[in-house]
Amino acid sequence: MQTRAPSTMYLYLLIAFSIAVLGYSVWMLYTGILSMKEGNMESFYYTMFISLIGIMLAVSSLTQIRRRISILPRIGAKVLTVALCDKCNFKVIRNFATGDYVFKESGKCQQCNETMHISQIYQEEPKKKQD
Amino acid sequence: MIPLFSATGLPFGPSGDLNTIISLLMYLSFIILMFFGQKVQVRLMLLEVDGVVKRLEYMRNETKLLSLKTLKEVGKPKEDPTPELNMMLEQFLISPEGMDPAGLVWKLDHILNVRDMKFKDDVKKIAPEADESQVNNLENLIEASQAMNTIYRIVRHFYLLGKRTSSFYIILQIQMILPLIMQEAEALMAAARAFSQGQPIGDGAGALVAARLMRGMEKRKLDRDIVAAETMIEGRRVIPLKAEGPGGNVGKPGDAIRLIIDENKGKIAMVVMVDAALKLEGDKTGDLSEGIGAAIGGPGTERFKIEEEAVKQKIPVYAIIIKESIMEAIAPMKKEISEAAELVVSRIKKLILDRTKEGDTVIVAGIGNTVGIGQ
Repeated sequence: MQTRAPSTMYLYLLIAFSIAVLGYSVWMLYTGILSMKEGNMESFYYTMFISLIGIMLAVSSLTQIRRRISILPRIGAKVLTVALCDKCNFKVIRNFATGDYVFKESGKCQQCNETMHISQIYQEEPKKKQD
Repeated sequence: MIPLFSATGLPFGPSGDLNTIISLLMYLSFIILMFFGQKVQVRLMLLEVDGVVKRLEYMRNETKLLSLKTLKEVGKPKEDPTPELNMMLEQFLISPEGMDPAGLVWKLDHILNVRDMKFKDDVKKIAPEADESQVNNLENLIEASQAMNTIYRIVRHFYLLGKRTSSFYIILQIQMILPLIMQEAEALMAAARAFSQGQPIGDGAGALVAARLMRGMEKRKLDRDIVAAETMIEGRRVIPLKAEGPGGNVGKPGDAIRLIIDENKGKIAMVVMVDAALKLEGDKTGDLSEGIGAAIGGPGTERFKIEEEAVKQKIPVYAIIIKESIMEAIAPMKKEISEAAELVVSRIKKLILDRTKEGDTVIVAGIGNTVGIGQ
């Protein structure tokens, strides 16, 4: 049975190529602006046209790659177990361990020594960027 | 000689001769695209589908390996379970003939019962050391691998068929739904991981609500993997029921509800069904909605039984649903869904207060897969 993960080399090559296209396009844009200053309008329009297409293609390609990469952590998200004490409401949040299930007894409460039970098991949401 | 570098120093910059070549190339590409555009598009689509087929193959192999690993760890089989597992992954079910619809539901119910029993027996054979709850989890895990295998084979079928016939429309129809297929495949991978470790999944929201209602009460086992308890809410006798956990199980809630109605000689004031339901894009995960009717998915046999009994005894059936996406339904349960279970309990209490009087009997059915949820 083939278990080899899909190669990531293609992805890296694509990133490198997109960055190269972006760099070349920006450089062309800069050259175009220089041409405009020199009064060579034909060259300016030509380079502007080509460089803007290049920038758009590279940015679109990089955005798509970024979207593909952002899916990966979602697949391997962390699952947490919440153990609760019925008497004093003391809560313990820990990583899920095989064998845990909701309403299973989960040891003694650190505060009142009463039996705790698992009240929740849920998947932790990946942290969102603070804007 | 054609100058490759223009006056600006840029390769392919504007110069007289090169302009002519570029113009010619543009005309040529226009003519090529006019005549061979569709072929180019077919090639590009095939390239995209090829990538997806490779990813699906990898995902299929991963879930199969996970099933094998869990089978060996939990079931401790004496022989290599791979041949049996391969056979189970290719297992199929033939739906009953629908030309004469009379009695179709019972025929389908019978086929589903036979299939469930055979599948469970097959799992027990290859995992002799597994307890009842582990057998249920293994059964669900192998079902997830089976679904992944089916998805892979169908996509590969259309890919190869499209490649062989070069038919634009065969490739187009598979290429159009690729994002949805990948979404489902990723959810199935997450589901396989959840089943292998016994983690609750989003679909278990209904079972979680019933489990909260029956906590601390005496439980009794009903036919076909369903447990029920009795509790009092505001002077009403409430009978919550759910599939027996914490192993992955959905049970037969239709049969259980019929049994309870029979036991109470039809004197049931109402049935409240709680289930996870698919949200629309833009809806918030964990939001609640109330409605009328039997909230239960699957092939429809259980819903039919509940509806038939409710009509016979003139019992109103109410539904409370917890909204989630298809991906959230089979992936490990999200915090919003887990917290929504608390809100559902208060909604049920309000519904019972509004629609029944003291001394009435109410059935609360928590529908869904109870993996990772005890009672």
